[in-house]
Amino acid sequence: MTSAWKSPRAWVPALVALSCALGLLVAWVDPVKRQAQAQDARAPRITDEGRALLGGLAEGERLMGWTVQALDGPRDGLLHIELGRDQVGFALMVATKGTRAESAPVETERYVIFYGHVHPPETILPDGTIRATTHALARRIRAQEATVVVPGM
Amino acid sequence: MSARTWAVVLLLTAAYVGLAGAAVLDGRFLHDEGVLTHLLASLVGREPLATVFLQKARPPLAVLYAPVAPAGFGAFCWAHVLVAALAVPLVASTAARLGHARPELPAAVVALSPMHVAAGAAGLMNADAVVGVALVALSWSRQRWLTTGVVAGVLVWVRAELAVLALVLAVWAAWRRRPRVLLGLCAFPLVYGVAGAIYHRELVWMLWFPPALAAPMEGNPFWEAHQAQASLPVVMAAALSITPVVALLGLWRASSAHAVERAGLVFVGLFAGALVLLPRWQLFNFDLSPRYLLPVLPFLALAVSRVVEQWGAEPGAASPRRRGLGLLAFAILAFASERAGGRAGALVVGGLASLAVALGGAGLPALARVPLATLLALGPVVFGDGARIARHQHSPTLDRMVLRLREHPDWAGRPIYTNEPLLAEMFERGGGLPGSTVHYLVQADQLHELTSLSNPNNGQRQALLQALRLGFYGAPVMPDELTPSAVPAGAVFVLREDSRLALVMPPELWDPLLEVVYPGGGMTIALRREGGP
Repeated sequence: MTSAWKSPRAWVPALVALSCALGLLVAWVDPVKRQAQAQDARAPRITDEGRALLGGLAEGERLMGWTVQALDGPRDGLLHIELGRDQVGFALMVATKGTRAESAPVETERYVIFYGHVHPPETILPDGTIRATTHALARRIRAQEATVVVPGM
Repeated sequence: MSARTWAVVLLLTAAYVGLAGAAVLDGRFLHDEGVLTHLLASLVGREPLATVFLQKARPPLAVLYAPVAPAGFGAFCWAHVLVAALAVPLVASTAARLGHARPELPAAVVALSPMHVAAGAAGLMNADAVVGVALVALSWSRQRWLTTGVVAGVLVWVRAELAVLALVLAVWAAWRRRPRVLLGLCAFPLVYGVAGAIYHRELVWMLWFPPALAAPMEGNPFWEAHQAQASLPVVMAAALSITPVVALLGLWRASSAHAVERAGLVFVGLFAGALVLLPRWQLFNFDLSPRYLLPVLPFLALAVSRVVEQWGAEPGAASPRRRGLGLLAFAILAFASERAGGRAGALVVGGLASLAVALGGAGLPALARVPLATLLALGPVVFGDGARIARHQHSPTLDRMVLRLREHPDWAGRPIYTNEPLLAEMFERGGGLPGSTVHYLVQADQLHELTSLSNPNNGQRQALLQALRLGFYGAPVMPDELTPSAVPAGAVFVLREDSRLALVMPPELWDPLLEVVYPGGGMTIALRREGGP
């Protein structure tokens, strides 16, 4: 039995099996999730009221086929919603009506919704995407804006 | 094959039927593409000629399942499982014909493939494609040249991507001077093409009305922002869901395989390469669904079987270098995949596969079968999610929709408007509101595809649209029919978030008319307000 393991036909694959076990050990000691958690600690934050205004929107949720990658604010009177898909990203910004000079593509009773920060920079977002995501966000806000007050906005 | 081998193969076939059948019963792989397969088969009964000469309808499959289609989606799913199960004995017969020592091993690889089980239960055409490829492999190994060509030719109208198999077969036939294969390959396209020319009154109808759009619909928000690039974790998960013993593929030696198996692996390589690249170029509406890769299963199973034959300690077995490099390549990919956010399960697979090869190399073949059998048995339980066919993956809000609707028995009897293609089927299964009709909002790109691929000049398009009135994911509402005046106050809108929805429900028109009841993540339930236009 022992002599059989002296054959490289046996011990070479056995070494690969050990390498896989080592890989599992690394995965256990330094899980990728832990790295993600470390990133989370530096990640932007949204207040509870801000999230409530957005209908409880959470990171990882889908908005019209786009994944919510980060939520932030209010910062400078704005809520930021970063959306991404297939290495393309952009942000939706929510501000109180009357606080911004520029005209917004979508308005609710109390808020306006802008978009921007498209990346990669040369990407042109199709009209349908902007329309769909801003209106989906507006639907959420309309359902909450009568009852939710967001300090800082 | 010996009687004992046949008994094992039959047992494996029964195991496949059991696994997939259980999934049919609990609906865990309920999938809109499966509902579509059933719908296309139903159309044959409603409008036979219009359906058969619509290439998009996958005519061979539509005709195959047409007799069972009127019995409902459940009966169709069971018939589909039984057809998909045929791949198991077909691959075993091929292995026996090609001189494999243990034909039951490739049969087990097919029977316990997590993705094949899921696709069979879901009613997906990809499982039928596996049976077709297995049939090609068997007739090829039996040197039934004409049959091989005919079946491969038909398969292109089952799954368009199987044109790669037809191409490989054609090159092989030309190289080996097998004109009957080439004749067979041309048979179905010729007969179907001529019959279609009479029906369409158009000689080149196949080009004018192809099986799929060459490019996505213009202005479709889903495709406009689609930049599909396959990531390593997704590809690794897909490969493991086809079969976890794919980890052994690096040990395969062309010199130990039959010419059919060598050509088969050329097909596997080209096919996988094409399906990873096509989505990047947005050709033929291909996205990155792992299920497109499933037809490689029969040839993959045969390759793994050859590897197992060669992993012993006897002279002529795989060399230590091949064992080391082949297994290490998989181990490195598994580790890189885990670091990129994939599951660590690939490393467990690599470890078990390497252990099996080590035990084989140590002259302990019986012990070597233990990790191999463990991998195969664990497959359907552990690696199914890589197929991305499960209901909780592609329709994560469906169960929540039904739950929320059940909270409102006062809505019973109200019309329900939805863009969720599986909601009507959930109602059929008794999960919805009594007395309510589910109206499916046909999406603009769905209508565009149907109208672009059918002939308006001979009545085909009109006949198909009329036939669809009898059922298309529920009672269909065409985009131009969805007007506020056509929807009664109090009607329930159950909407999954989909960037295409704005094309049929312009938010500036509909938002003021809807009272949102559940704004929930990924879906919205709203009621049509009183008033409005």
